Amino acid sequence: MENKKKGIDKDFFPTLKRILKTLFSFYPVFLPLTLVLIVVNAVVSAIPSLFQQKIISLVERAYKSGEWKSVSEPIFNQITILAILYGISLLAAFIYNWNLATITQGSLKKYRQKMFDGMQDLPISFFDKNKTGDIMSHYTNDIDSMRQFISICIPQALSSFITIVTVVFLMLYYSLWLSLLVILGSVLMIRVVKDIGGKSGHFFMRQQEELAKSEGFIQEMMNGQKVVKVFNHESEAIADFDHYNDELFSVSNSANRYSSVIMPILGNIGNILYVLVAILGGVLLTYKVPNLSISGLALSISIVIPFLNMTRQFAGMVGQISSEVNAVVMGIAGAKRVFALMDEMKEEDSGHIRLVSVKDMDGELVETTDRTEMWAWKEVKEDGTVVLKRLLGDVELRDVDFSYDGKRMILKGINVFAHPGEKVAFVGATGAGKTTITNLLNRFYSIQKGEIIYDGFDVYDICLGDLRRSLGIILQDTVLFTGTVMENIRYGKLDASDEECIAAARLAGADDFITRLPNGYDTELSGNGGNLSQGQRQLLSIARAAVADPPVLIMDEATSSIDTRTEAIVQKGMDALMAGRTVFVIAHRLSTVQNSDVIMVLEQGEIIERGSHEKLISEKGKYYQLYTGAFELE
Amino acid sequence: MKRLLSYISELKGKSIIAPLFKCLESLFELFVPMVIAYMIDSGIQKGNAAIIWKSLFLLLLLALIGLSCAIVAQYFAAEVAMHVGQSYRNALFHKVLNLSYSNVDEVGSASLLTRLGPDIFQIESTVNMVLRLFLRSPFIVFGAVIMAFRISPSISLLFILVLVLLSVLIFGIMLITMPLYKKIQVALEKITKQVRENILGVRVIRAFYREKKEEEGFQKSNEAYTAMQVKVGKISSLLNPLSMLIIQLGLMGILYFSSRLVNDGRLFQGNVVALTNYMSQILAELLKLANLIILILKGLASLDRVEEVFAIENEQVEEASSDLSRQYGSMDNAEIESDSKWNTEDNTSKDEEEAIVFQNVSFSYGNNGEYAVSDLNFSIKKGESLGIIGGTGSGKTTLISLLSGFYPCYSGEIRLFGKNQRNYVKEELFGSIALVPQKAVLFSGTLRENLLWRNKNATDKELWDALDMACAKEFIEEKGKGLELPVTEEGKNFSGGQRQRLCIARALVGEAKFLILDDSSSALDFATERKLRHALSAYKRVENKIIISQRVASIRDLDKIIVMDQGKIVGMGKHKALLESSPVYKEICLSQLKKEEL
Repeated sequence: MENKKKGIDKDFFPTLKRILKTLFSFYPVFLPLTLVLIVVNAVVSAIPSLFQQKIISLVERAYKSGEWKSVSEPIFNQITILAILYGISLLAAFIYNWNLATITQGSLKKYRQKMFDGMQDLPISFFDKNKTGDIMSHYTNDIDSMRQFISICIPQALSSFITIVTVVFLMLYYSLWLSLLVILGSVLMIRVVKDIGGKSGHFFMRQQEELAKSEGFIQEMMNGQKVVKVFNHESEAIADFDHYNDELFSVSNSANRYSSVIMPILGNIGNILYVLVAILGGVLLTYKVPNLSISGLALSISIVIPFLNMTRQFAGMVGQISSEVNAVVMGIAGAKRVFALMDEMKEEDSGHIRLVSVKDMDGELVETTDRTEMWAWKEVKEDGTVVLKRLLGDVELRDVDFSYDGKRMILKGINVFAHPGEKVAFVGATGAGKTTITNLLNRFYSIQKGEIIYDGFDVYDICLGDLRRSLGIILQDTVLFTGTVMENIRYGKLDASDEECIAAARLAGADDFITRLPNGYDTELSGNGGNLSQGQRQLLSIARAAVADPPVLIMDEATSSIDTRTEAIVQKGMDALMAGRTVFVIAHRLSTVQNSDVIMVLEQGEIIERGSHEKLISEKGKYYQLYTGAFELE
Repeated sequence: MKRLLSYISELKGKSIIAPLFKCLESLFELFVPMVIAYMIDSGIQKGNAAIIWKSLFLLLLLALIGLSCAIVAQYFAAEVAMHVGQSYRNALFHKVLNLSYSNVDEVGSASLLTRLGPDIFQIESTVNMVLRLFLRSPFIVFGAVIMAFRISPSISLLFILVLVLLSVLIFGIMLITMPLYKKIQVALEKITKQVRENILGVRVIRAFYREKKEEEGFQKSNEAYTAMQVKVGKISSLLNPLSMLIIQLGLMGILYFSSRLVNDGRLFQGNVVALTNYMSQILAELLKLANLIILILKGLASLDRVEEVFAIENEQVEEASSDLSRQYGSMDNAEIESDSKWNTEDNTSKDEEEAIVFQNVSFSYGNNGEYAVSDLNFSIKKGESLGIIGGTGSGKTTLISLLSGFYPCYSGEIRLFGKNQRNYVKEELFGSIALVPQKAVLFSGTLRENLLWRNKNATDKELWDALDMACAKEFIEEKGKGLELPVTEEGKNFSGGQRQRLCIARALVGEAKFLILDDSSSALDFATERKLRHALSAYKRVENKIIISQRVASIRDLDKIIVMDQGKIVGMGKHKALLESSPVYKEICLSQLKKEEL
């Protein structure tokens, strides 16, 4: 319970350990070296009081005896040592700060890269489950709190710890009574930090919550702004917002009030402590109270003065540590989330069958490094024999069951076979499982039961990358990337020449609008091709698939955003694109699917009808009802 | 700036007290070394216990007064800052809601969000810190120099030297790093953009097996960004050691020079202690000042961004009397109007019969002069239904947005029931339109709350009737929670088709002159759409129904059909007539219907 109150959860220390472990692995020599420098700096900046005491005691002696000549040399020696120490501390501080810049940013770079690389191997379901904004915040907020933690908290914690240990030792070395006073004062300071700091921390967390709430509200209102306007709903929206805003004001006001008084209070406790040490020192000196100390030195003015310095140092450290508590908690929380993303379960890939370029030598397939445009599956059997099998595009789903969450079945007993060059269409209501089938084929999701056979191989035996490379896909939500139109088409095949890309664009019927863009194929697209219409984007994604020239093509509502008139115009190109390939088509526009070799009608995860358009029409079943619009799908 | 000052002056007392008390606090802080000097010189040196106790008491008192001043100051500063933040947030939200749609397009809604969120937060903390430090830091720096001058004019020269050196160092480093920080910001934005694209495009990236390429691309920008960060970090790492060096040398200088003065009896030992104290105070405050300046620069940048939004002129349809500029606006179009076959004078009587008249309406979204729609001329009578059909990007939605008053900056004239649309009061105009937008947006809350948007006082029966008509009753009943069914953010707990039907139901609650459906059945299957169409054709609570669609079936039976292509009206009339007169319409029909269905 106590721990929970302080915001330290059970993952605190494991996470801390992991941060340190990864940091050491990133910089096995550099980091320890830097830490040593921090320790050196901390020790060196804590011990000048020792020399100060010696100098003052020398002065004291000379003051009494009046023989300044005899002490000037020892004083000079002490000052020289002091100067050297300052020099060392300065140099150490400079070097470790310099190094920390590299260590901090370098390790953040590695964390970022690890997250990003790891993300490339995460299953698609991860992206279904997590909001884009939430994933993004790993790269922004969380990394930023780690930056604070690595660059400030770690060195400061180490340095404060060493300084405090050294100072406490020195204090005890000189005087127990004075030390007790200082320690008492620090206990008081820590109490203040805990009480007021705890309150302010509570309100800061509330503030974060309220901020997120009001931002969510704003976002929703902005997205629906047109509706808010036309429904004359502005005053209600503002009233609601006022409510969020007031709440935010009251918590952030409290948070800031508490946090803004904490530093002055600490500072002044420090000052008062300083005065009290002076008073106590004076009293002890005046009444000649026997001193208790490690050194066994009697209390003198030469001890009280450096003690005052140490008091200031000590109080400063307590203040500094307390101001970092929030950053530590946030840093650990950020690191925890960063590690969680890095630890996400990766997509499984146990495939061993590769896709290789081959050439035909007298009817015999031979693997080659040339660009032959002829592909084959290469399987290395356990006994070492190599089997090459031509890539054809023969696909079969056998008794496939699938569920996203392991509870609700999305697909039940699906059997589909598509011979090379055939066009298979899926129709059915939203949620019937059409898209899911194609997502299983390219292994975006893993099936629970059954088999998917591709050119005679189980798809789970094929290397994931090679499997996907052989499947072209055109999705309903077109995604384009920042770059030129040409680069976006080339995305389908990185080594495609400009001519190939343009030919693909022609095939897709995109050439026409591209040449009318301000810079033609060199026009820069930004923000998912925001400057293009939905239909144009879809044409580009068709061109992108065309340039990849895959034996199997999946078209998931690929033409849904192209109006029917444009679709009719590009139909020829589409036909050309589909010719000679195994094609899976998903469409709710029946005109798009009617010339398929076989049409599957899906309902609630099951295939309820299959056959050609003519056959299904003549059967007068669901397809017939759909086609003539006499049946409600949902 | 004016707005900021007015918000601050709303808490005039507190915003004056805060910095004032900060100054008081620093004044007391400046006294402390003097008291210590007095204690050492007059008390300890001369063995005068009374003076020692007196000065100790004085020190304690100073500490307590300083503390209370600081607490009062920080307390009020925080309150003023929070008040400024709250007022800004309120005013900006108000403003954003009143922005026209083209304004929002221009600024971008993501950018508006950052202005409402982080930018205002930045302003808030800047105000807080400025109130606390802006007077205090210079006060202490110059106060310390003056105090040093009072103690020893010759040594105060050393103070000035240290002050100059420190300022050169601190502000020099700031000057070098600030432009770098700007570059870093750009590099960081590039990284976040890459991550965002990667997440949004994950399916395509996987499907094309481009993970490696993505990783390489990310690595490149990651490294470029890191290199810049390291550079800035290294430069900044000079700050601490070098400023310490300057201060240490300064202290040594003080000791060196003052030892001679002490020897000559021109300076007391206590004074030396005071001098060293002042020196340390200068460093601490200069560092705070440097941070404050960075904060102020950031705050000003945020303030600019926020004020930018306030500076956008409301393009709203204003109150009837308000706008002279409108007249200028229409004068620009005088040429077009004189060319037109329309004669406004003679039209007034006829207009009473006309529900909607578009007269030479043209509109461009950007400033590039490309018209999204141009030369729109049509009219429909009261009670007539209108269908608008055309390909993607043909200008259908733009036409509706113009009619609804989302983009007031068009040329030409729109008249609704004989009255210029620009002369309508906003509430009246919007109140007369029941719109079902293309993007089906719902708001978090309950179903009832969502349905009550047009008419707060609608009865349950009305709501259920609307749901029934929109073919939504069935699935709502299935969920079993009735009107209290929760709606999550943006209605994500409904499928696309369900959302569309709920949006239709929402528009059907309450009175309106026009019912506009902007491609709002695109996610519905044919059968549901047909049912909906039948229900709507029997709906008599509005004067005019306007249906935008890509499907011929949705509009073929309406009284008037407008065919749009590339921002222009290329055909107008009834279905049968259009088949004859408009080749575009015929093509659309042929792509969707079988010959015999025409």
